[in-house]
Amino acid sequence: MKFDIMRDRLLAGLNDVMKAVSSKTTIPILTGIKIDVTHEGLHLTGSDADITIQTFIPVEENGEQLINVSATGSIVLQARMFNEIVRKLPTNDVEIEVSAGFATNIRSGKSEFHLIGLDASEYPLLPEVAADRQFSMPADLLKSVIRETVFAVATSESRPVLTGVNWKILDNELICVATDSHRLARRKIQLEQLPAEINSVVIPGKSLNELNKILEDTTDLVQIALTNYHVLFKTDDVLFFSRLLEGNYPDTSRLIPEEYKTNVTINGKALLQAIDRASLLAREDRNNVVRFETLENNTVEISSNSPEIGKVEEQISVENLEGEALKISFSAKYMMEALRAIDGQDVIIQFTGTMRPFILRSIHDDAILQLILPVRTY
Amino acid sequence: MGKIHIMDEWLSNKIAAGEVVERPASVVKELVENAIDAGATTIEVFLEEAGLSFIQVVDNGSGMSEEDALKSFARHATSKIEKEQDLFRIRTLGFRGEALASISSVCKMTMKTSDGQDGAELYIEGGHIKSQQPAALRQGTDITVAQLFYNTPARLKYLKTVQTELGHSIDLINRLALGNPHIAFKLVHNGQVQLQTNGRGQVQQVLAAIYGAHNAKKMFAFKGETNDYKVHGFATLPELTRASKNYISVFVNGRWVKHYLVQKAVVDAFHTYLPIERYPIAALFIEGDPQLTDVNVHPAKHQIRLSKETELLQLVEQTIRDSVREVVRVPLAAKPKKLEKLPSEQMNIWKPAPTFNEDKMAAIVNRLNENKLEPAPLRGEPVQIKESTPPLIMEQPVVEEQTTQLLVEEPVMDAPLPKEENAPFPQLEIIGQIHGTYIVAQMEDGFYLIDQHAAQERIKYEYYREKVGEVDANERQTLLLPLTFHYSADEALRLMEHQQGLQEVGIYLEPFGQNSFVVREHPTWFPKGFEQEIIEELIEQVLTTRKADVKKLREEAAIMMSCKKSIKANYYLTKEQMDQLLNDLREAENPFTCPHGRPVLIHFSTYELEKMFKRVM
Repeated sequence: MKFDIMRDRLLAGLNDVMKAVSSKTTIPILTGIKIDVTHEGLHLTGSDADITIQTFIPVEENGEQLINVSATGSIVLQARMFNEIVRKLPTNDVEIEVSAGFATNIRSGKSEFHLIGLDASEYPLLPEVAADRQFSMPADLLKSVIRETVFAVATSESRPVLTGVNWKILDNELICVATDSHRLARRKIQLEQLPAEINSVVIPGKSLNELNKILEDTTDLVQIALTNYHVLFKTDDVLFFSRLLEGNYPDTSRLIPEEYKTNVTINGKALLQAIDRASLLAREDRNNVVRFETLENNTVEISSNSPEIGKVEEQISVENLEGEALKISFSAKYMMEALRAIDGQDVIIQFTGTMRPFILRSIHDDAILQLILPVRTY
Repeated sequence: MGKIHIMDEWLSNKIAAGEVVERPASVVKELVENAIDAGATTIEVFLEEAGLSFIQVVDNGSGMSEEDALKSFARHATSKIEKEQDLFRIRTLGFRGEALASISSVCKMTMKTSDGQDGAELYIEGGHIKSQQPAALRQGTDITVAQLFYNTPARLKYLKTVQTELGHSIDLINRLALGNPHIAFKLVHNGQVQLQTNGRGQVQQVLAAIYGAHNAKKMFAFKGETNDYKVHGFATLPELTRASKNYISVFVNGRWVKHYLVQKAVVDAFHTYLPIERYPIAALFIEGDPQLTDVNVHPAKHQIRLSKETELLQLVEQTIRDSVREVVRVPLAAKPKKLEKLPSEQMNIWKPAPTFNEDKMAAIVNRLNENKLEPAPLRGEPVQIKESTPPLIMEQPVVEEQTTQLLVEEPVMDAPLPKEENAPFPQLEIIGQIHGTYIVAQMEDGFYLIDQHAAQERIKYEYYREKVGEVDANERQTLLLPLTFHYSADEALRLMEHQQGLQEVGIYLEPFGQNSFVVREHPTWFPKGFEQEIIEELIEQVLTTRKADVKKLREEAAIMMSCKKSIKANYYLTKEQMDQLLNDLREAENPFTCPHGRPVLIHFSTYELEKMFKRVM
């Protein structure tokens, strides 16, 4: 195997692939990156057995020669080391040559590295994903869908299925739900040409976070293909595989209350900032709780109290306040994350009582819905 | 008349008593040791108020004639050594000839003794014989010490509570009983039996009497020898630990001694098998030519000097370590309930009811045999605990076919032990993962829970342990300002002698004035800012062990590296990753504990599962 490549392009490809490589793994070869060179181009593959990312760099792009392939072949190189080397090479031309016994030479300018590679045939194969059961959405939409849901997944493996985001298709709508059993984030998206037979899959939150880092904010379509065990996100030059979580995702539709006793329409940004301030004192108290109280004259009060430190009170005027008076306590963290996910000016908060879950949504529709369970205070 | 005069004997005895007779336990010690030296096979000790008001030691040893009895109270009167050379081959526990004289000077003592032919009963108060009469001709000696320290109020005042003093006496008799399994000991305090051994020569039975049968069952035997020393004994499996090193008893030629380095060797043998600050219960017997040992260090004879010490320490550590490695198994999830129920049996006119103690012991030892001989919670069937072990008609243990006698001398050692270096690691079939932390795997004999972090930590530790030792002593950083080290004259001399060891790890000491050294460069692997400490530590190693061991020094670093580089809890693993992990673990030298001594895997046997679900009762 022997080829010349533009360093910048190689580095860009490596950057994406590195996201899948974990320094902690029980399978040693997965600390490496697989490099495949064909006459069409260069494939880089990284994996932690959970996520597999493959990038493709074509030989030629827009009439520009990116790679000069002298001999095809494959090799696995230590990911961190290879990445650092490429990053620090002196010129933009890199020559990589593999000779007998997986000995790999990397040359650039007058610098020459000799690395000991691993047998590429030992590297795990990519999961097979059939072409049916697939749909597509623009990259920027996919990114916002991820951003609006993934923060709510559980971080503890004690209920593994909750560490992922549940995607299901119902009536030509893609519904994405994440919950850690204290709060819930739901996003509904109208898409065309959705396959009918996908019931429900659970994509690990960690995978979606990595995917979000790789995707660019463009309107290019991302192909999404599902099997029973894997999901594949496909852009022009990146294949992103993730395993799916096993187990049944709990039915969350019944958790969302249907009637509300108190409705508050409020400026999301003002509320976010007020809670952020109140949580300064709440943070000392380990559970990070703030109080929310409706007052007369379209005002609400945000307060927090930490016995050793002191207390804070802040009144905010709201656009609209109707229904029963209410005092409620909740986690400042959950509230701020929910408010950040609803990226609009005004939000509606609907309560059904001090001890009942409440929801937040945009005033326009319920495409984004956040549900939070209050904290019981005595 | 000059100012200087010779003290009267009574006074000098009282002074000597200050050294030897510290507390009631010291009296017990001296008297019981005399009984042991007299060849007794049963020794009974009766105490009241922890011995302050009453100590009685009754033995069936050789006893004394009237003439001997009278002499025995004189200072430096002994039957144990005669010539100067005898001092260098002491086989008896006592030899100084001071005990009786000292004790009798601080109490009211009655001695009844007879050698079978002739005997005497003496009453001594404060060192003076007050009355004398002939005694019954029962061979042996019966000494009663009443009102100890009645004439030394200062000593009396500084005694601790009854519980503390009794504790000292019990501890002492425990050790003496362990050291002399052939003697039947009985300790009675205020009418309550505190300890009773049967004198059958079985160390395990004594251990069972002292620490309970439950704990004695969890002990394994070890044995080893060099040209000069033989060591053998018992220690607990790593699953049973104590918070104090006190439970490690060391005996040199039957004498219980306190020897820090030997004790340390025992603890070191358990390194990485036990959690930090936990220690085994162990009884270690060292036998060697009395000429190699010097007990004439302190009147209390707790301390001992050993020749060829390094060799002995190595032997102790190696022997125990090898045995630990052989026997270490996966801890059982829940100990099956002990079935200590005594067999009930209709009494027979021809076969009188068995006396409680002896046969209970026998049953315990027999069970011990069975447990040990079935080498495998891991490999074989779950440990079968016999519902009832009939006394007298014992079942032959399954494996031990050649055994014809019920109570074999040190049964475990006679049993063929598997030849593998390590206890075999089970061949496991993975079922899944729990809470992203534990791997569940099964095999025929039940299932296992494996802590994924601990497992990988062990694998990485064994890798890094070697790695950290591989430092290049020739890559050295020169220092702008040299480091200076000051040592005492004797240490400096020894350092000069063992310079070689330090040079091997890249430290070159240059003499710098009297007893001081400078170091102008140090190997590059030294962590920044800790150069001085590391050099001091290496020098300390050289001074104590004559060898600088970088591996040992950097072990902590290895443990830390292995911990950091390992997958954590709450981390999802795919099937392939779990497979790989268990395969690597199987290769590990000690796959059963992590470097901090915590268990890597826990076993739930089919039997226990059945018990839990009441499928078997």
